[in-house]
Amino acid sequence: MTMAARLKAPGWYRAALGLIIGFGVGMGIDVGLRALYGWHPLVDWTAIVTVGLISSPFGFLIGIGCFDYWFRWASGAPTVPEDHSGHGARSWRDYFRVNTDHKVIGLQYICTTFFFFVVGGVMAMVMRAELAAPGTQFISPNTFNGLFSVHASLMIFLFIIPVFAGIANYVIPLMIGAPDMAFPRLNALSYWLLPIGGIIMLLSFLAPGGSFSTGWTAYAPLSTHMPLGQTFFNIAIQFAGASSIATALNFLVTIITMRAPGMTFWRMPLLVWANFTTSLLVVIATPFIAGSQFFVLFDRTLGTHFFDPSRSGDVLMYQHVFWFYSHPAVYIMMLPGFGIVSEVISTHARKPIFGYRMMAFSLMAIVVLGFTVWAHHMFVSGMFPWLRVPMMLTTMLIAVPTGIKIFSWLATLWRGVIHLRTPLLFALGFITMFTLGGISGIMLAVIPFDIHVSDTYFVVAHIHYVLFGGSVFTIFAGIYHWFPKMTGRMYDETLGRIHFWLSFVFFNLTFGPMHLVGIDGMPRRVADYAHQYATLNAIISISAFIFGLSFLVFVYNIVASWRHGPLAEGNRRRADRGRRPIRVRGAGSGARGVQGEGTGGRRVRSHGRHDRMSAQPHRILVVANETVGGRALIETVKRRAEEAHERGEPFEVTVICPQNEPRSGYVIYEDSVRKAAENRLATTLGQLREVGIEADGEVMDPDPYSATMDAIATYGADEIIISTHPGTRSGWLRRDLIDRVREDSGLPVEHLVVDLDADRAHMTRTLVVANQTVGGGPLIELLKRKGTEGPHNFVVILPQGEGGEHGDAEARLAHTLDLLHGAGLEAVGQVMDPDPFTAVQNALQFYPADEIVVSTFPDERSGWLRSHLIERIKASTSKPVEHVVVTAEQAREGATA
Amino acid sequence: MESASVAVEHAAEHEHHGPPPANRSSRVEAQFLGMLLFIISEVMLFGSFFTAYFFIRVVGHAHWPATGTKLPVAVAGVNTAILVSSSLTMHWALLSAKNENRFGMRAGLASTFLLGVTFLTVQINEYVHVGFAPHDHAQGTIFYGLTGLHGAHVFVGLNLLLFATIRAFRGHFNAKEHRGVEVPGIYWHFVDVMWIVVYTTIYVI
Ligand code: HEM
Ligand SMILES: [Cu+2]
Repeated sequence: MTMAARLKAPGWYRAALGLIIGFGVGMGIDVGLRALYGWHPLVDWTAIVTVGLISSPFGFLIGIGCFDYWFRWASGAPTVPEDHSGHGARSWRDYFRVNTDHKVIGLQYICTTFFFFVVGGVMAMVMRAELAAPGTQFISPNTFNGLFSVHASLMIFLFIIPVFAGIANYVIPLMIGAPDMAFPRLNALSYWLLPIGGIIMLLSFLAPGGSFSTGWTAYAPLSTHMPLGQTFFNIAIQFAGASSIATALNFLVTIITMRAPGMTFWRMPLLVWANFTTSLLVVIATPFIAGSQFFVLFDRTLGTHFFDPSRSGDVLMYQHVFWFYSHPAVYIMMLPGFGIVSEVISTHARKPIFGYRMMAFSLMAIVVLGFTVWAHHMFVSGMFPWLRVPMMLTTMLIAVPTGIKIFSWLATLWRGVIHLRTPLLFALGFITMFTLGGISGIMLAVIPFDIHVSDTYFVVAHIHYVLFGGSVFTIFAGIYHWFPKMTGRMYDETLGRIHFWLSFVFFNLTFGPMHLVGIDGMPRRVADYAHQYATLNAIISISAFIFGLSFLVFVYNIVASWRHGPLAEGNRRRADRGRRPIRVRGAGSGARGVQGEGTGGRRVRSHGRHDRMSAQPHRILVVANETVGGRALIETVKRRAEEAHERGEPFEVTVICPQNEPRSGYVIYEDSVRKAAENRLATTLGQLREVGIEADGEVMDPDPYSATMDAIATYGADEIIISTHPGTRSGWLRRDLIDRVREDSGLPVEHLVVDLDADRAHMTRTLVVANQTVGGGPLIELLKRKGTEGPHNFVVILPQGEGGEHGDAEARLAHTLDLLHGAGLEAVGQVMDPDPFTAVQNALQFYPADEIVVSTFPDERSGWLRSHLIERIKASTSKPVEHVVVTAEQAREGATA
Repeated sequence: MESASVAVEHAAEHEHHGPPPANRSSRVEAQFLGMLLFIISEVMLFGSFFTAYFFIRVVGHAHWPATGTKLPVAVAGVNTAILVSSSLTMHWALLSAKNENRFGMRAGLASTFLLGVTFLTVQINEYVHVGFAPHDHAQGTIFYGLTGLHGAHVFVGLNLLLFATIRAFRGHFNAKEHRGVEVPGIYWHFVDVMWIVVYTTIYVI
């Protein structure tokens, strides 16, 4: 690429250019205005830097390509697809570009925020080194002030708040069954705004007078009189805040408008609820911190008087506006953690969360109450005295919903089947540490006590118990929990445990004693202290260093496991989509071969392989999903086989069937997805056998690309046949699967378009939906009648009842299939999502079907009819729907027939 | 092989660049809801400025307007009328788009844009003649703060209108596809309503 081309295409070259132009434009505006007003000096670097800090980031964003699409759109020009949804990143470089795939953005967020976590952590270490003994050790008091301010600001605005946005970006669309976020381009922009905020904060160290040093709270009028570094804070907050608002808006719209059918609000996982409520807080509260920083910025640069009492300004107004954001912000930093812990605990205790609705209600209660407590940060500020007691009471009240959550988690663990792995360890650590932080919070809500410990280390202890022992522990829990899903590999469990125990012990040794020195009166935010606090501070510093080192264990574990960790096992946890395939029997028992077998990490080998001919066979790899079993596919394979036969070559056919991402319902019904794929595969292998081809088959990773590449690596292939729906219906074509496979494997790839609707003429495929009535006489009779009318293929699905009757359902299904097979009909079946409507939607996605038969009890007895199931199915599909009524008696007879 | 061309053709066929179509779990449109949430956060931003106003004028009992200054209530009143009428023309544009009346849509958008520009010009003219500056006293600060914040919103709104107008003149939008008129319209109405609140609190009471 020539330099000119590089500068024209979105990317880092253009971004660098944009940065320079942006700064130039800012400088031009500034100098121009000063010339216009006749101000001196014409070139005032303070003013130029201020304007430049706003204009250069925009230059950067335009350069890197955040706005390309919108510019074309706005000018009415045809837009250019730059969409990455579905295929995400192909190499690590893609993570350094504007990318709209939610999984890529999730990882971009997580990695960026962890970078700032490390930087902020190093600053904490330097502070603790300085505080290890009384007097001045290494750094000047001013540097110390800068360090604690940047440390806290990075931790809050660049780590905790956005890392949750990152995790949520990754998992929320998957959890609610959405293909991506509602506004993928806005999502990319929100991400790119974030590092800008962090870098501006770090750059403040280069400003004359040092970095901003007013703490993360930046109270006026101190902040209005500080050197230039403070301006960096004002502006960095605007970028981080804009990023936060944009993501929150995106989450809200995604959750409200893009839930899969069947995913009602009251069925959403609690992490989704947590993110929903957090996003409400962000959208409503964050503009207040933006306002407060605008005021400070204007007072500093334009000479306004928001906070100048001598000109009728009001100093305390800053704290009101600031805390009206920043108290809700502590819940912005905590609620997503609550969601993560709910997921982790219920997964690792193998139990649904106790009091699910109460958990969701308490989140809502926190959102509302969170806006009524801000002035508990201002008890000593000299604000209206009458406001104090009400704020104390509301603060205590807000502990109630929080307490509900703690007890719900404990009740979930009670009598659970507890798997004490690293994520759960961190979740348990969270419960204890956060409870302690909550208790010191209640102490602080008590006005006389708060007056006593205001601005002491007691407050530092409190915030670290809630933020580190609370939020950061949940982040670790979440990262360990979803690591296998995000990377496809397992972390090292032993190192995880070591990381937990080191953190847990040294966290307490670091921050526990701070309560004591705080109550004794050691002031916070001061680089030096009285000799009486020396011993405890030495202990604190040493523990803090070990605590800091424990993070290296985490980093090593993550980096090493990501690169060469063992592949994560399928189905080990319901949330980890397995990468390791299960094999289904390729020959012999026909369609029923996989019926009723479990779906664990089982590998069944095909016997056909052992006695294969000695010459190197021609290996045909068939990749198909819903279209597996389509006639065109069977015929093509047959033709290929015949060709090989004519050449005198032995051949080998392997069919892989990447399992579907269900579009409907609760995504965690992983078993049924896999079962559906196994059934489809088994049917296909049966059909191939009918035309005389013994093939092997395997259900694989949902991502068709990686499934194909894995299969090539495992079995080898000489040619590949990929079968998809015709263009408009195929999700795979949208991901340019075929080109990627062809490019990356270098093998001949044939693309076969299978129009399942056209197959109809040869074979009618009937989807049968029934629960208790499944073996009932009238139903079986109807199916038999259909069977005599022409070639027919039946798929029987049983939406599994609530509670533990899965086993019963399996037995009923097996019995029914026996009846049908007995009558010479071709049928497969599976137990599915308990909600019959969702089950039908999923089944229609998994299996080709031409008609639907629903069987229920008569009107008055049928819960399905009462919920208008038939009408809803009819409304959702154009396929004919038949309804068969089976009485209770007939059903009982059928069950014993 | 035919496959590559299938994939390429598919991409070029229509302007669908998003992820695979999602299920619609709410009757509300995503773009509409997004704009609504954005407006909520904008209202809160105004809220923070009104808090400053409240502390200066109500809690601090500052003279309003500052002693020795006067606010041009009448001129601002005329300006209010201009902005309100621009909301009407905006509505006309949307109705026309829905009725496939291309002239009405273009004229509606263009006149809304011009009315908005007039509003801003009058506002700037007012700044020049009002007789005090933001750095004179807190009353001046918050006067410029609130009207300036609003002016910035008018400016953003004008940009959105400009995009919509350009697209309208380049042949976009019809009875089925008019979101590009509707969504900026919502924003414009918000800017209008917000002005009425600002006008009432700053000039009238
Ligand atoms: C090894 C870990 C950490 C250590 C040793 C540490 C240490 C410190 C120290 C020494 C201060 C200055 C206190 C003062 O002089 O007033 C401080 C302040 C602060 N830290 Fe940390 N920190 C750590 C991790 C974190 C994390 C993870 C967060 C974020 C969630 C955080 C949030 C804060 C905040 C918000 C303040 C400012 C409190 C205030 O005065 O308002 N810290 N930290
Ligand atoms: Cu608070």
